[in-house]
Amino acid sequence: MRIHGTLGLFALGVAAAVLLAAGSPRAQQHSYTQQDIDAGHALYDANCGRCHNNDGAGVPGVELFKQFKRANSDDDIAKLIQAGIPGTSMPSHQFSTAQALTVVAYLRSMVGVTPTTTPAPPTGSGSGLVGDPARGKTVFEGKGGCTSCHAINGAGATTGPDLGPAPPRAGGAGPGAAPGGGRGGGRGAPPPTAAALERSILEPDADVAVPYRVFQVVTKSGQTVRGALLNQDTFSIQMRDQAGDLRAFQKTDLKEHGFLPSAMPSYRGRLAAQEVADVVAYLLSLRGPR
Amino acid sequence: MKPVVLAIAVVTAAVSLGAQSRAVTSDRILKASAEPQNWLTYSGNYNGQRYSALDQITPANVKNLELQWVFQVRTLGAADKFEATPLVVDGIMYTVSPPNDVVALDAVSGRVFWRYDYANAPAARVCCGRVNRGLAILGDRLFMGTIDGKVIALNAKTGAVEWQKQIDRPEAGFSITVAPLVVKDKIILGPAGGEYGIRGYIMALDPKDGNELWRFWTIPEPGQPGSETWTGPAWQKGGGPIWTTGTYDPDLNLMYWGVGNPGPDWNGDGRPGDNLYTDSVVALDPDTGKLKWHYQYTPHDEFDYDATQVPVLADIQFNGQPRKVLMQANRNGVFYVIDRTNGQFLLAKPFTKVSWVDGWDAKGRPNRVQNPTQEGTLVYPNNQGATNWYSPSFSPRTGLFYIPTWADTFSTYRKTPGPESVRFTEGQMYTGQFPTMALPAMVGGTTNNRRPQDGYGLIQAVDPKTGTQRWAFRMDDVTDSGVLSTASDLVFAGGREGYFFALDAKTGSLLWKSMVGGQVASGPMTYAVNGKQYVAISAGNNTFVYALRQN
Repeated sequence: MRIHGTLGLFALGVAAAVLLAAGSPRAQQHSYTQQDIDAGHALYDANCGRCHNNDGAGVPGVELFKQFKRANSDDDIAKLIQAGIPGTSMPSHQFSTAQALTVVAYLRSMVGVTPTTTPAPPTGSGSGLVGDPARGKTVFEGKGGCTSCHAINGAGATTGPDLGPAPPRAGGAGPGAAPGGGRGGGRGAPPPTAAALERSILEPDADVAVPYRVFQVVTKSGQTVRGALLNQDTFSIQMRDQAGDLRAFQKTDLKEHGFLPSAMPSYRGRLAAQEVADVVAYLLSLRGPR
Repeated sequence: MKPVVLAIAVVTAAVSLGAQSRAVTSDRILKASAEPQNWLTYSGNYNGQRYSALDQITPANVKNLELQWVFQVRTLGAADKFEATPLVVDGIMYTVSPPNDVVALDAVSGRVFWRYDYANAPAARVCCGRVNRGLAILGDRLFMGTIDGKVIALNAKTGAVEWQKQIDRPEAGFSITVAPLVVKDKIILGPAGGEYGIRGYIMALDPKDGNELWRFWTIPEPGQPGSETWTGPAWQKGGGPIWTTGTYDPDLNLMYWGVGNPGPDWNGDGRPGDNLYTDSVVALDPDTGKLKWHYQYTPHDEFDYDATQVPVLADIQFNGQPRKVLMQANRNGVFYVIDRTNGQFLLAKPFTKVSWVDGWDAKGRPNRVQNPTQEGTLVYPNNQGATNWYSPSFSPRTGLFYIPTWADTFSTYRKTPGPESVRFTEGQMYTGQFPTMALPAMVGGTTNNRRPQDGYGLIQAVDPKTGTQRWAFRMDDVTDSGVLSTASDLVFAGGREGYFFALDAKTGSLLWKSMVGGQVASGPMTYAVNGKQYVAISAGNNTFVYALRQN
């Protein structure tokens, strides 16, 4: 059993992630083992997460899982972690160089990956049924009609997230998002535990990846505008509409505003429990053995 | 109406004094409520109510507030926050901005008398951005803790260093972010560093030279009372930091301090037991540092629920009886009322969604129903807490307790069972695994496109007799703002969205707002000079000061 849950599973995609890095893959000087990444992950969680958050984006203007602004090579990043950045809130750290490099290994492994920042409430261990991947593939492509919205590794429809295992380039856009999507884009894949996948099929509205969230305002004059929510506060809304234009509204001018429900239907009652377990097994099988 | 008359009389007295500071004696601090034109301690006075008798700004005229001046500090680091509450003494404002820059300002114009910039040692380690919550003053001396573990005494007239004392070792994670509290002839404070395996304490220093006068360890050593709540050597790195200013009841001669989390934060397997006095309020004799009583809000904490929130003191009717109470809105999501004479538990009531506890026994021990697990446990409120260091307020006029709230937030806590998964290395964080959060912990993001179910902010009013909510002002983002209430029944607060606003203290209606363009992460305060009332708030890299438009 992996101790780091969602993040740990993503880390398995490290080789692919580095190749797809939005930053500069050439800057990586060293090769790392999974043990390095895990050790760095533990150090990151304990020492970095409180400011930088689980998604590497906790400090405004800094996105550790996207690019490094002040250093590029592994050794320079490690030195920066050890020494801190004088005159800023980045403190020095009592790490050996080997330890600091494991943190770099972890950060490299996360490039292009946006872990979910809104963990789904656990709903137990799911149905407990053992699924059959081959049967699941049949349901996915046939009775379930899943391919009418979802692609696997780029092959198929793009209305919903690609459910293949490869981390997409950052900033993947969905239909509600128009170009650019939400902050950091989305993983574009459902949370990779059996229970979470089952939940996504039965309660698709419980957690929608940021780029696929569609925000709607209805003005008091009756105009309806849909698009990606960029920012909001107690009094106002800033969004990009589906034509790609920036729009701002005062809430006092609106009749209603909010996220629309997920476009995906619930499969509760549409698929038998065994069929759901089969689809879950199929999707998990795309990620390879755990 | 009596308080109104008093306030006007005192403000009038200030006119003749103008902006000419007099020495702040301990007697003046004791009677701070009698000079509401000044703000002499972190919370304004000893009871921690952040209630001001000033009443020139009212619900009727608050819409006429306009900006008087802005003071810009050096640009802060990305995770730094301007958390200090300024002091105002006879027309002069003293404040401290990150990391440890002190300035004396003309409180009418914002112009600088003097400035003192301190360069911290590179070894300084802070868990959560470089912050300082403010200064203390006694006589003509200002006292500041530094993030590299020093206390520095400055001459209030010149900004010159009169003494500095290294309190503890920054390379081991000790920092001082708390605004010290002056009680009689002593400076009281303690170190932050609960994420670094420190052993915390509250200490008294001699204002003359910084010499230590007494020390109360927040983690007892073997043989001392409370040591039975620890196992093995865990107490040596047990945490229990001090980072928010305590309160003081001169009649009982007792100080009240909230104590922070046990270490390691998120894995308690190496510290079986309740882990006193972490996550507790301790009542201490300020002359000796001796413990009179304690109450532990979160025994054996594994959720980082520091109990450092200001313990607010008031005399209220409770169950039909006059009681001297201590009220605390705790990071763990629960509002508490305690008899401050003896520590008797009177009331505990969640003020937002709380999942870790489902009740309390007669003595106030919580029935905890959740712990971190290997698979992950979803817990309300989140790791940053339902509230935190941001000061609440209590208005004796409305009888309501005002809480800056992170509403309906959650974290998933995971741990690898067994103590060996958390190793101690001096100067490294000693915590366990950081829990997931849907909200940025330290500093608000540039934008907020989150869903309502990911959490939101409230300024809410709670009736301390019952713990029930009377009203709530809802914000789309959470708030790191303190709250101020006034004798004219106004409540001032702000939030991460960058609004500073005034609410009706009785109803929560929004009466006025100003966009300050940066996260409000400090407590609003009010003062008067030459008969004119001002309201000050620090947000982003600036302090903003408002007063009523003339004419």
